Amino acid sequence: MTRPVAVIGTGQTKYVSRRDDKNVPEIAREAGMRAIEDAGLDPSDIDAVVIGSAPEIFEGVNFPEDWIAPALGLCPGPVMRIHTGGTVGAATGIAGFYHVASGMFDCVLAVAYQKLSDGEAQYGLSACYDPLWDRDFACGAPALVGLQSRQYLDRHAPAVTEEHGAMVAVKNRKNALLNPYAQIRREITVADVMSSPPVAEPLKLLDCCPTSDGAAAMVIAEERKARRHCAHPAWFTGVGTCSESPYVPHVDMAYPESCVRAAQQAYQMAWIYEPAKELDVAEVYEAFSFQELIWCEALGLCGPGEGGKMVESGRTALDGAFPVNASGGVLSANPIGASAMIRQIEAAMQVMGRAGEHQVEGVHRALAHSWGGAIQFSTVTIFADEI
Amino acid sequence: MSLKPPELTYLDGEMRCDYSWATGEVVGSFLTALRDQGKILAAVCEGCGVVSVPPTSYCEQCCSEFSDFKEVGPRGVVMSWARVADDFEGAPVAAPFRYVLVRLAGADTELLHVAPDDERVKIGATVSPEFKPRPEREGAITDIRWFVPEGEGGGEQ
Repeated sequence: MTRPVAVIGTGQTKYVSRRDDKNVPEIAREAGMRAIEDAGLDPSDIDAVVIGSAPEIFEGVNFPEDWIAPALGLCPGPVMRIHTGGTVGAATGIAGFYHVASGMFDCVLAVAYQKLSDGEAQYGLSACYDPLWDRDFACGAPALVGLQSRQYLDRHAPAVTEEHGAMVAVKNRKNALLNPYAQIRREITVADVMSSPPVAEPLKLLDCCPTSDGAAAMVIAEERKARRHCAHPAWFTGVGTCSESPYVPHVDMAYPESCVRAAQQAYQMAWIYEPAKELDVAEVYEAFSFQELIWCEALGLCGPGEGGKMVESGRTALDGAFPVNASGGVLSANPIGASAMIRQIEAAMQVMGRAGEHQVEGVHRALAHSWGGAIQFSTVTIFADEI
Repeated sequence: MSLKPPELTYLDGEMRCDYSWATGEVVGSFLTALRDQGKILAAVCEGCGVVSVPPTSYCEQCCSEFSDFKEVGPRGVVMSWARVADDFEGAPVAAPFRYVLVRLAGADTELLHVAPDDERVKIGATVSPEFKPRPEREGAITDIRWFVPEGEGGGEQ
């Protein structure tokens, strides 16, 4: 086992469809400085910076680490950039954990960001596909997840229906009303979702996340510093990452092996045997509504095909027995490169008791999940209030 | 210091860069056979025997090397589909159409492609490729125009 490491401060920007008043390094700085302030530290307390963002094509700038690190107050200083598709925000947080757990650094700032309004998000997403095989189909994200969702619905019909996806969209948009950082803050109904325009059926417009500008940051510290500066640190007790290939034989998008394995790795490290009982809340990367059900099943938070029942029963609602995406989730804001770190931040905030109006009572252990690539990257992070 | 609300400005630009992607020998052989003979070649792994299309010179399952090609298809089974109702910039064909994942007969992996918006295109259905006429083929996966319900495929022309 590694040495104890905790999140002691978090920072987020208000997520919006277009952030006009700041450029890319400035939004990264805004989140980073808020996290340092939240931790009660000064920029000079930071030993190293880890930066994460999704493909450069989204902003049209290559090599963004060139000028983002100086904007974060560590110049000159140790800087690394992480990149693993949609999971990059969480991989950046996990890399920050590695930096501190290894003993190399005592206090690290992890920052992830995206300014999708600077470019064309769907064009950028389609350009992520292999030019030899998939790129000409301009599949983007909604069509890929449409294929994933169809596979899931078909397998579990009639236990899971399109209405169950709509229930996730309704629940998470309702939760977002209590999250001041969320972009989409609007109460909707299942009927609204079902009658919204088709995007890539079974996905309809209200089953889909928005595109956002925004940044997120965490201060990650070793035990002595954590206890000195933070009354209720969120301890990293388990991390898991796994990647597979879109072309791997017998790939299963409706029950992705990378997600199952990342969860197993994290649970083993955190000594969790029955995740549905031992965890209190989860933040999962549901860029599209059906994904919340798919991820909950692959994470072992319910059995295969039980995702529909889980949302319909109210179990995953904010006042349910096992709230999922109390923050409103990715359906309420998606600055892609930051979204996976936002899941970690929201899970950590629940453990620290700092989630404000969407705080769930008595959270001791929280899970953050992320997804990226063509259903091929997965990460799982477990935070706990004690070690 | 706080600025008086300034006029917000933007710098417009574009990044232009032309590429020639090397396909490698294995994928090059696949694309040549597709263009010239209308054949779909899968790669057989020398270690575990898995049959992959798209073909790779390495096995993603067991890390062994490529051993040989095997012709697969042309028919395949729909593993999933998603319906697109409206046209969008860069769309591969006119809407409405369906994205499909197709597992070709004899292969262990799936190929992303497109199909007409036909209700027979659903999970478990058999489809077959409709090739573009030879003069229009350029040695790309889009030399297959799309996959159509069984019995309607133009096949190799």
